[in-house]
Amino acid sequence: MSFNRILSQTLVVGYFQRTISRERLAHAYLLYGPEGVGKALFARELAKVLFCQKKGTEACDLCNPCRKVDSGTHPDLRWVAPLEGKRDIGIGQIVELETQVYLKPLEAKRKVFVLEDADKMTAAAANCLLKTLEEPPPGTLFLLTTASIHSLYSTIVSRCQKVRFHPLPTNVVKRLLSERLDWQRYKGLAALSCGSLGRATKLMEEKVITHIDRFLEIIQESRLEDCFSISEELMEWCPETKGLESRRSLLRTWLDLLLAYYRDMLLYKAGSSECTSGELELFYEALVPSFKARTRELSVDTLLQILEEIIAATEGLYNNANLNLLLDNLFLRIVDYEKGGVLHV
Amino acid sequence: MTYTVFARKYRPQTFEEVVGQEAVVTTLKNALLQGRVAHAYLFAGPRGVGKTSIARILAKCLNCQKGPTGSPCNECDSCRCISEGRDHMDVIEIDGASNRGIDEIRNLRKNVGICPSSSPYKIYIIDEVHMLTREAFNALLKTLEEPPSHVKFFFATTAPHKLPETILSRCQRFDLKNISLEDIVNRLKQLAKKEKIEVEEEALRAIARYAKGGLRDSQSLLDQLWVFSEGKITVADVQGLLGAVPEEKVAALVERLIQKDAPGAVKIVHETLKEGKDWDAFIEQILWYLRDLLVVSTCGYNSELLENPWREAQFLKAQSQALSRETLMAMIYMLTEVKRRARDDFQQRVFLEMAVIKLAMMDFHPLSEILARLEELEKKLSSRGVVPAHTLNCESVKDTGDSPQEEALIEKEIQASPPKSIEEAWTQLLEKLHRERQSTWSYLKEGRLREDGEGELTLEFPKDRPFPKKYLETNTQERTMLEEYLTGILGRRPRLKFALYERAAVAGGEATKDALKKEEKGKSLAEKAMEIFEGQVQKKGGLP
Repeated sequence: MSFNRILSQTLVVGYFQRTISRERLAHAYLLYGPEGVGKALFARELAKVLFCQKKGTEACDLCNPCRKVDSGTHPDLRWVAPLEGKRDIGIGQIVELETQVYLKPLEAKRKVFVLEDADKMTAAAANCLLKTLEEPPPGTLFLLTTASIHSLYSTIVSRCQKVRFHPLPTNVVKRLLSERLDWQRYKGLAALSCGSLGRATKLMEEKVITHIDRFLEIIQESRLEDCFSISEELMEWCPETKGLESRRSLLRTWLDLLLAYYRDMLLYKAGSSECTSGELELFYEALVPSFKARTRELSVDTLLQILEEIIAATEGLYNNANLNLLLDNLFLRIVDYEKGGVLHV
Repeated sequence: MTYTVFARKYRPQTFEEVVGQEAVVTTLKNALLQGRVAHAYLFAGPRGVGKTSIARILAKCLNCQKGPTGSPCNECDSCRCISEGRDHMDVIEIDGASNRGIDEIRNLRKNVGICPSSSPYKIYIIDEVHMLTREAFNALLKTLEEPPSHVKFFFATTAPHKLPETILSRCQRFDLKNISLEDIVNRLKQLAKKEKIEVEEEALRAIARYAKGGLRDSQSLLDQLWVFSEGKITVADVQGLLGAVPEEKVAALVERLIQKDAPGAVKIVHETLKEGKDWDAFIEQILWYLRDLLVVSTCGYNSELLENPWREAQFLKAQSQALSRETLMAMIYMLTEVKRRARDDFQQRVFLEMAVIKLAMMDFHPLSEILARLEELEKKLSSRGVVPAHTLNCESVKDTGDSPQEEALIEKEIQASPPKSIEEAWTQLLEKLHRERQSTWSYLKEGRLREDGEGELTLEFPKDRPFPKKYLETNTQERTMLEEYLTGILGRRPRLKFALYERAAVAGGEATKDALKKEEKGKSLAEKAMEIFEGQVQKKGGLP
């Protein structure tokens, strides 16, 4: 039953089942792939299979060890993730893990260590892990998960077997989301999630959608001067009291939606003569009727420039720009490009 | 019962097994044979090239019961202890990143003096040594420089630049290099033979390419592929595991770009996405393909220089002819930017789509072609008797008398005829400053010069502009400079005073202002322009 919970990762599941049945399980795996496609879930299920009393390639979900894993009380499964309120995994956590590694397992035949979001290890923590990761005592299994394999040290990556998790197919995300949302309007959300359920949920949260709707309305009716009221609304929506990190992440999500809108227009402008809108994989399919009139006035170059502005603003978010000014500047530029680029001639 | 991965199982146990580090191995072997082994070595280099392995082999060589020797027996207690990773009394391997503090080093120093128990040498292997703290490094310095004769230190690190100079200068340093593609392929072949794995030669090359010089990476990959695939390992298996895109797709995408078919190119991008391919690998593959096109267009088709043995040589040649080198470089640059700037899958997708559309819509004209067309245009124009704009510009600049000879001439004129009145001197001074020191001129032009008899000169400024006076009174350098200029013009050294005066026009109030405005209105545009730019009419007449 257990691996059934992992959706659309048949390749990965098949690989591990073969590995287990051939008894060729390595000592360290790096599970990488987009956010929210089931990496951590998989790590837990894998531990369950290894501990299960049935000793097959599927966990029974019924025996004592299986239940212990499910309830998070199995003594031989150690889970390391950033501590509450911390951004990274510190060296202290790794040192503690290392003392655990050299102790014999208590109940099962092996010990499983899961490092969730391994890319969040500090430099000291990552280096500290290196030797243990390369040559742990027999019966140790490391499972590292990460959404950005490139921010991991190559010395860590090179010591693990890499297992890639695929983005979920759009229809799977759709199915998962359909229970929670009105689909007529946001068909594109599944596509926008890029096959990551985690991302899709993030997009639904916090009324991001409502705010982008208001903006798109204004843009489409070309009440361009009203753009600036949006910037105020956004500032109210993510006030300073929320803390910088969550403000950034909120605005980032919002800007991504805006990027998606202009990206749709770009694809429509460039490809609508030869492709159907289905083939273009537009995010905002509901808005297609309005694209025709809108793209008549905007050239590909202008659209590319607007997209560049949005990207620059997104980068500004992470470069400590003043958020208020950043948005005002972005809107000013978008309005200007939409009107034919008076400022930029 | 537990399975050991290839990377550990096939860790080299003798110098002969070390791959691709001939220089280092030969040096160390000779040192051993001649009995000239230093007391401290540093092995530096990227991941998976054999730093730790070499350090361990060297330890084995020194402590082998039949040694010291260039090739350890791998049979005696000491050798087996090290090979199997058991605790060896006299070979102490320390994880420098986990034991990085000064206390650990103090502990080490305490034990350094104790003689080895069963071997000739006491050997400290400190791996990941770059993570030691500054204090720990400094605590080690004295011991590292002059350890007891029975002690050897072997350091291994991927980041030698993080070590203090003082440590570096006390060690013999060996820089290990990335392992070449051929060496990796050969090593993997040996390994496959021993493990009885069937694998295509091409698949091995693909693995080696992906490993980017790290032997351990390539071994892990082979290990995985063995489980992943049924029967013989093929290139398709490698691509499947890595999420790579088949080369035909990449070639087709470039072809769409050449044909300026944006929708077609976007379609290909979308197809690859639907197949769940790895974006990063996809972009990298396009980059490698473009790189090969660049090589072909520069050096002709030479399979040795190419990264991939592309099957369609003819196709590759045709494409390399369709794109100029500048275009290829621009394409490579744009795609590298995509790779660099994208933070996640969503951005990667949008950026790639943007780049593809940009590339398909861009008009690629090589710079040489544009230049040729420009030259042609110029020729046509000159044959019709029209002078190109830039030549015209040059001449008009000459007209204003900026050339050095003419300036010298003006200089002479000034010196030849000393000015009659003080007003004339003032105008001359301003003219000269205008040419030579714009900044001074800009504030001086507000003022006027008066002579108070006895050769004393007063420089006056309007009362509402007191700044220049203050400035000149406080800034001696500027004042001396001004005096020197005046000396040049008047032929004698003046004594300068500074004062303020009431401006008549301002005193007149609103009435005068109105009058002034009226006067302004009465002037023609040309007159106003001349006033602002201080120009003069040279020639009157209509346009030709």
